[in-house]
Amino acid sequence: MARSDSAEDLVQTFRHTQVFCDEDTQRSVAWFDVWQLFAPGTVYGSANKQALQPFRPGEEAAWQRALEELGKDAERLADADLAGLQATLVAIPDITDVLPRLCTPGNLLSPSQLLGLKRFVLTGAELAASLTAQGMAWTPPDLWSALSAPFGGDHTRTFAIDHVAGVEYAQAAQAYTASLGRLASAIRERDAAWQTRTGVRPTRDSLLTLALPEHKGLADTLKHDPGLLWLRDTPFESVFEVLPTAATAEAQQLVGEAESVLAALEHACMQRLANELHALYPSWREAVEAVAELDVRLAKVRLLQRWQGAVPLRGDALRLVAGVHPLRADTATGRPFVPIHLEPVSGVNVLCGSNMGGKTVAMQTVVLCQLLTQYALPVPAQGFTSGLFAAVRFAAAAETDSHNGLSSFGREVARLTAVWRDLESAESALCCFDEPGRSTNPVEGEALAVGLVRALREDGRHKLCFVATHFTAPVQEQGIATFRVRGLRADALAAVTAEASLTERLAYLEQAMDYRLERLDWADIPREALRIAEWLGIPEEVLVNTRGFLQRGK
Amino acid sequence: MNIAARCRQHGWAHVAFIGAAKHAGKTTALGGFIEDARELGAVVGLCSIGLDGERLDTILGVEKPAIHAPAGSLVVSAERALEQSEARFDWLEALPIASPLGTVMVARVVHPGRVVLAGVRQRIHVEQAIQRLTAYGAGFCLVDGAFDRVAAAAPHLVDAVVLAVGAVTGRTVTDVVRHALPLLRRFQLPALSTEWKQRLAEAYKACGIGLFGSDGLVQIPARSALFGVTQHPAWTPDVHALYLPGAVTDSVLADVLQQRPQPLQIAAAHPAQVLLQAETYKHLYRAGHSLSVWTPLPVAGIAANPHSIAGYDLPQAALQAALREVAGDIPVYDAMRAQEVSGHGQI
Repeated sequence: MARSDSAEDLVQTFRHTQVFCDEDTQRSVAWFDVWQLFAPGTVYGSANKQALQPFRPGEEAAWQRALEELGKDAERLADADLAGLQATLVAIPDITDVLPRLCTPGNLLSPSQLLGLKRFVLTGAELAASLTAQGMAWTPPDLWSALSAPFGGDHTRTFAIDHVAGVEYAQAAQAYTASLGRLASAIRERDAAWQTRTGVRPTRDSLLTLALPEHKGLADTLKHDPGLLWLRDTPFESVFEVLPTAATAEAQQLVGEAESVLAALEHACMQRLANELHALYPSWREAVEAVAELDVRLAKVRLLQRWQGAVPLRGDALRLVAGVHPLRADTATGRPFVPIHLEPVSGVNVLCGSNMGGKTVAMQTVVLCQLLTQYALPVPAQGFTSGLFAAVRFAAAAETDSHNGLSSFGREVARLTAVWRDLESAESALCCFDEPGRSTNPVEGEALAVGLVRALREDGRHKLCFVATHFTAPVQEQGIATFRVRGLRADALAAVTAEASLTERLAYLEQAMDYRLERLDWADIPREALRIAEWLGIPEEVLVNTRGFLQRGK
Repeated sequence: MNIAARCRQHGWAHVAFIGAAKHAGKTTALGGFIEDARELGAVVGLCSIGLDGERLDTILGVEKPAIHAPAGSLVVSAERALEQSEARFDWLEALPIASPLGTVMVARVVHPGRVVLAGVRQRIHVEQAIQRLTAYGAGFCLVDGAFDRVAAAAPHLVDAVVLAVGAVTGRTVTDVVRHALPLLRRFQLPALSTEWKQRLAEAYKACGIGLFGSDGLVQIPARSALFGVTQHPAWTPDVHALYLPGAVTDSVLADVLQQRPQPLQIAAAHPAQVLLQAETYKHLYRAGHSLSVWTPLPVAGIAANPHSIAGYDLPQAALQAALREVAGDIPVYDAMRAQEVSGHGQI
């Protein structure tokens, strides 16, 4: 039984990790949606997932172990193995409500609770006995043997007191059933006797009715019969209650006595069972944690398979090989998504290129892979190597915040400031700035972008920074690495006929973009805009004057 | 008459028990069926739809008989209701149905005794209960409905119904039969002809109201019945057939009958949706209209109960004879004494 993450759950989950990664960053890279793809199948796994924390600097050893375990699980689990384990796992009942009752001695458990516990144990034992789980070094079978012992060794997936009670209970139950049978016989004999005598059989309610006026004489006689209690005469009938005979009275008493004995034995049995289960409380907790752990491990492998991704590797330098953002890849319509290869340098890395989204997606993919890596989760890439950062931040391109009345520029400055403050307090950080300075005038915007690049470069702390820009000046700074989105293929525009409409041209343009990133040895912004504008049919007058300005600078 | 044998003969495995009123003898009829099934060696599965956890009738202060379940029978009921039962169980499964009396469970009777059935309140729950009872081996699934509730009498849930008619509804045989007639008539409505089903098929599939006139079928939303079918722009004097997917009540038909003097073919989805008083039936037929159901539900038998919890009793023979007059081919019997009186009268 799985539980989906509500928005509130997600916010709660990540609030405690805000120093590591704030909500704006998570939103920018669609972290919440990606996190939903990591989906354990049981309530135990889901609870475990909610409690997951990212590994931080200083926890490299534990992080390494988690990654190695993921790698081994991925190698070990074929599709059929994974499916088989998951099918068994999702059938495991939810006993989280029962555990608190097991914690306290003396608490009796209801039949449904006992049924849930028994099925939990039997399913856990089934999992533990599977070769696949044994290969994963999951729990020892002894744990499940111990938990199933109070249930008397019965392996049916039902619960009855008969399974756990002793011979005395079985005998008492038989005696009770026999007494009910004797009572029923006594009642039948009594009723048969009345039928013989009056021609009428009493009802199940022990009522005997004689029609009037034809049986008036008999009715008057029976009103004085000690075996009957005359109730009333109606215009149609005379109604009597059939009184117990000595035999039925004795049989009824025996039923009562047998029932009391049975009830007492039941209570004693349930009490004993509760006590035995309570004594095993630590083992129950261990079993629940083991199920949660197994569920999470399987969910990680499932995610890896879904993405055809990779297990991250620990390394000193970040390296991304053929990474894709899973949500962009999932929604891409009919066009292959270009995987991203990136080997940034420590310090500042500037991404430049056409303003058509390639830079932003590249940075989002890097940040997403880093977040997944620090949770020891697989990444949607062919390879990803990195270390642990104390903080990860993404400052997205500004939009107007209508709620707070902030202009785009105001929002941009507020975000940049907030990120900078976070970086100041972090011992190490991965940060991305998407088009800084874009939301103000180009002169000062470009200056802002240069200022940011220089400030980041001069900050001596351990940082890996990306700045995406379409300004020229930041790209020409010293001491940084520059990457560009390749942009338009050289021969792309020539392939379209002159008769193509604007709509056709726009669609073709998207197809003709080369979104691969390449490291630049020389710093220059690719100049494609006028070529594209001309190809799209910008008025000649505008084009001529634009070219004139570029040549003369005024 | 062995009512279980009759049901087996007709292939009716899922049977709902419906009372003309509270204390009409419905639960007693159910008990009789269980005994008849035991004679056949069939396993019964039991559940109840309606009010929860009644051991005592809180209105009239009369103990309502719990159902005696034999060993091997299967029950679906709320956990605390089963814990209050005399029978002892092998607990099989917890269903995903919550109730004020705890989780609804499936259990097999290990040691026989009276059981309290409660916790199932919706048709979808009845469907789940029947599915699980059948999976665990029930040869008959019996659904005990709350008084005057025909919620369980839906063709997709059950194959047949047993109607319980009792002296509690009147001090004379005539009164009792008069009270029972609307309930009986629901289930005696004829099935819609194949020809009309073809004409109204699209409305049926879409669960909408179908208006059939000279231009063919027009569908309108089912909710149009709330405000008067004839108020919809699609209604014209030309309409001569009407399919109603929802409740067919006195007010719904009053609106139609006022607007439509020519004979009208009216079709309801199934008998449980027909909620008409005797007077409405009279007006309907007097005006030459016909009423039928898309999916009929057969009546396995009419269980007559001459005993009233108010303290009086009606003559059994007279009650059964009067019911026989209106029952047609439906057998009338006393579930408490398992005596049958077959009917051959007309409505």
